Amino acid sequence: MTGHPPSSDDVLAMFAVAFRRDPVELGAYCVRYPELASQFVDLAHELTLQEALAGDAPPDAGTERWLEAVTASGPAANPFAGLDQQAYGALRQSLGVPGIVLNGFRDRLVVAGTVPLGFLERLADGLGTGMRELAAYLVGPPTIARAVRHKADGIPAAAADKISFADLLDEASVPPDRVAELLDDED
Amino acid sequence: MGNVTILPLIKHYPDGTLYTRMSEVEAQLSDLIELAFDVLVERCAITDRSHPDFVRPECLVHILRRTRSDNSDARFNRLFPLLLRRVARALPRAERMKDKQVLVEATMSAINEQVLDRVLTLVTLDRSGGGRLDFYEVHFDEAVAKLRLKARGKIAGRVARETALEPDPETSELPVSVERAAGAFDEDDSILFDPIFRPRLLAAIDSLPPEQKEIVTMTMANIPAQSQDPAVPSISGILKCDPRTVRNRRDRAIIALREMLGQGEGE
Repeated sequence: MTGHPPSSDDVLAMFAVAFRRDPVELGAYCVRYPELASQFVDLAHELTLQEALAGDAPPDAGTERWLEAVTASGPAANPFAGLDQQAYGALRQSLGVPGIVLNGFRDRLVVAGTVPLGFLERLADGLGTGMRELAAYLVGPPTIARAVRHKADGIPAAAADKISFADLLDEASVPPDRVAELLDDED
Repeated sequence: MGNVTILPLIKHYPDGTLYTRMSEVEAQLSDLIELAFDVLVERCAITDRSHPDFVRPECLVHILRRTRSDNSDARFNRLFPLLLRRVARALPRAERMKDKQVLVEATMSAINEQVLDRVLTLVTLDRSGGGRLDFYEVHFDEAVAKLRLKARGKIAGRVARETALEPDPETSELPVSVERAAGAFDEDDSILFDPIFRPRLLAAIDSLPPEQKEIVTMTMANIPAQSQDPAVPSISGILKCDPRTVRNRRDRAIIALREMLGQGEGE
């Protein structure tokens, strides 16, 4: 465990399990985490809605067509291709990270699964691409070899020559306060 | 036999406990990971929960994640569509029948589409490592519900721009249906707890204005409108508003729900 306070995402996960066990937990969680009260209430609604309306009926025709299309997609394009030096600098500034961090993404040196979704969304927006397309690009093999190798927790062997987002920020000497902000940008 | 291990989860709950799969998930996994891959895929394709060979969605997520160490996408590509179909089945149905016509609830459908799209991203990201899908191995349905929560938040602004907002219940005139019930300050809320109406009721609640929906949700969780004891959670305490506002909104919601369910006056 780290010393970081729990993320709202983790608290919501814990609540979902507790509410499913006993709906009375809704009130208790609202009292314990008042800042998340409206999210608990909304999630409680989603859980009861799911219980009442999700079913074993097969997906509708539109969803079937969508499933066929998305699972047949080809190789990922490089969203960094065609980005000139000026645009690259502007993107780095808008993300609030040093160039070495952005290079890590361009060269696919970072383990995509360790990057908070909020940061990835901002990166995708800045690159003018979608989250799915960016994710597909980032999980490919590194485009350059790393001189120093690290391995983060939970990273499969195939990605062992990549580093976690936290390690990348550390290597780039990003100040601790900024690191905490970036790592908390889950969504 | 027995040499294949179930990979441990890495995420922790806020109270420090490690995410732990349900015992029935662990038990099924022990059997599944010993099977030939073709047999495994066949079993994962079974969607009828009552089938003896049905593979729990939590197990399917684990099996898919085991392909992270593969040298090719072949096994992943066979399992991934099966997982997406399981996600689709864990979403509330956006279609409903009315007078022999299929109607689609636009907001519910838009949220579902966004959830499926987000699952694609999450699974893709997970292939490189990390614990983001750990919760899906622990409680799959709850994980999907959590995605809907996020998706709803994202499209809320868009929907708000397309839908006329309800007038402020404290300051504006009441709609006709509520005017008719003027004086009925404490509407009978038994409809919220009647199992006969449950599926249609939940769909109807979903279409209520947010401030009514949250009060109905809390009422259904047996949270009282107000409480003299600060240790006892109350709706007015949680929302930090006057108990009269809570009752007013709840009454308006119940009247609207009765109408949507065809249980209005004289029916």
